[in-house]
Amino acid sequence: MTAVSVSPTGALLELRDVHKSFGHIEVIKGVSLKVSKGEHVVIFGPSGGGKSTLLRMMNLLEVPDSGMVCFEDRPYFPHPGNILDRASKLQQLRSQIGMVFQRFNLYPHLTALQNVSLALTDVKKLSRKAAREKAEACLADVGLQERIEHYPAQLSGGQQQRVAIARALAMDPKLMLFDEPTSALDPELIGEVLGVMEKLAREGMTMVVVTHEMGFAKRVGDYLVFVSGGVIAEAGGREILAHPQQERTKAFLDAVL
Amino acid sequence: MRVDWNPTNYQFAWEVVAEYRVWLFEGVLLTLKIALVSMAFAMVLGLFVALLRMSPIWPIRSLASLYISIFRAIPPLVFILWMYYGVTLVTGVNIEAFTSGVICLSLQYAAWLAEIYRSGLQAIDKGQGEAAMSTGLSRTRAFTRVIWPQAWRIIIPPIANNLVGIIKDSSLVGVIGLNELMRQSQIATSLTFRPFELYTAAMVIYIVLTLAIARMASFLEQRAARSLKVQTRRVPATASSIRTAA
Repeated sequence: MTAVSVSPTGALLELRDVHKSFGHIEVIKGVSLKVSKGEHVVIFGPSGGGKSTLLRMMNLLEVPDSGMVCFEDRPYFPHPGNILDRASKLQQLRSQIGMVFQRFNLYPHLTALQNVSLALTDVKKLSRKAAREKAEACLADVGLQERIEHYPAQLSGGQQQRVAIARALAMDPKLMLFDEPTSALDPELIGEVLGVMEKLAREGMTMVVVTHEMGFAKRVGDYLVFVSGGVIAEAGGREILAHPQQERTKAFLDAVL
Repeated sequence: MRVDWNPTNYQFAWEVVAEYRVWLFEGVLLTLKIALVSMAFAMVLGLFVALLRMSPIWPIRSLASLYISIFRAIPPLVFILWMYYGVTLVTGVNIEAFTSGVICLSLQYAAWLAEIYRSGLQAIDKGQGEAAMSTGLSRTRAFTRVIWPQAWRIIIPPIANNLVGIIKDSSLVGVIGLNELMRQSQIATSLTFRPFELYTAAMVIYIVLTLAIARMASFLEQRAARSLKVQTRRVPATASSIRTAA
């Protein structure tokens, strides 16, 4: 098998002309996107437009049908190498990319601390003690030092999502993906989660955020991407919120703002 | 009208139960041995079949489906006789009665258990495995650390039901000469002509065994579900917010 050569682009993550169909429906119709180190990319657009699928391709939770996914100029899709080390390559990619889900996806049978430390002992091979200390520090970072022994069911939605953020951060990711992190939250709890995310952005974390929170997009986004109908309909700096060039973007923004 | 509870004026002789207690006890031991060994094999094989049944590759999936449908359709008594008398005759391989009985019960219960495993595993949100894999866990580790511990809680009660079932079905292997509880009572009956007393004793023993398993299962269930209980008690946040918004 010949190795796929990639010319260095300097991007941390790159999607190159990715396509994805579910059954007969093509949800991603050729998208190319680069995420540079330290950049905060916000993806927005109507439901069913392919935002989440696009985000999930970045850590290959969703495998494209065609195109290319590169991280630090190394291709992870098409799968490099033979079928035997495919799984370990995937693990390698994912352990460098943190992901936060709309519905938190905390492990209900484990405490907040165990939720955070699981991958530390399992993937990073830290000792129990080191993992515990690291997990405690990460939970303290999101303001939950008082809640480490609580089970997810004993926490509010906002607290659960902050545990989920801590779980992702504990792996020292180079990139954080957020898949509508506040969409499942009560309005009064959204602020605490956005607060943690903004702090993370200020500290220089590279982030890709799928969100409907246009206020957050305006404050944090460096590069805003409007995804609709499986393609990037418009992309640019914050100015596209105020002065969208495309009719579709304008119509969407009029509806949500 | 007066109900005559003993119209034949039958003279009970419960002392035969005491007299044959060692026989019955030996029968219970063999019953438990057959049931537990078969259950252990069935639990392992059943999980394997369940995983094949959920495979993304359709020929594997349909093969597992076929296994499940076939082994659930055969009456255990027919299967036991076929295996012990039929298969040995054709293959020339002399399988011991115990082995033969255990093979039959294991194969059949694996089919039932496979569907239980599948329902338990499918009840776990897909996001659980995704979250685990997004932090770099392998597919296998995501299964053993995140999915299985949650599925296990769901399947404890139906697994216990199947253990009860296998104990009762183990009474069928008496037909191939294994002296388990049922056959021991039968032999004792043929010697004493006391079917009522001895079969009553056998039934009581089966009931006690079943109750013991039920107790054990509810203990395991409670222990495993401690944190999930908290979850069911909590009112979902969205419900309260809808109320205040209205």
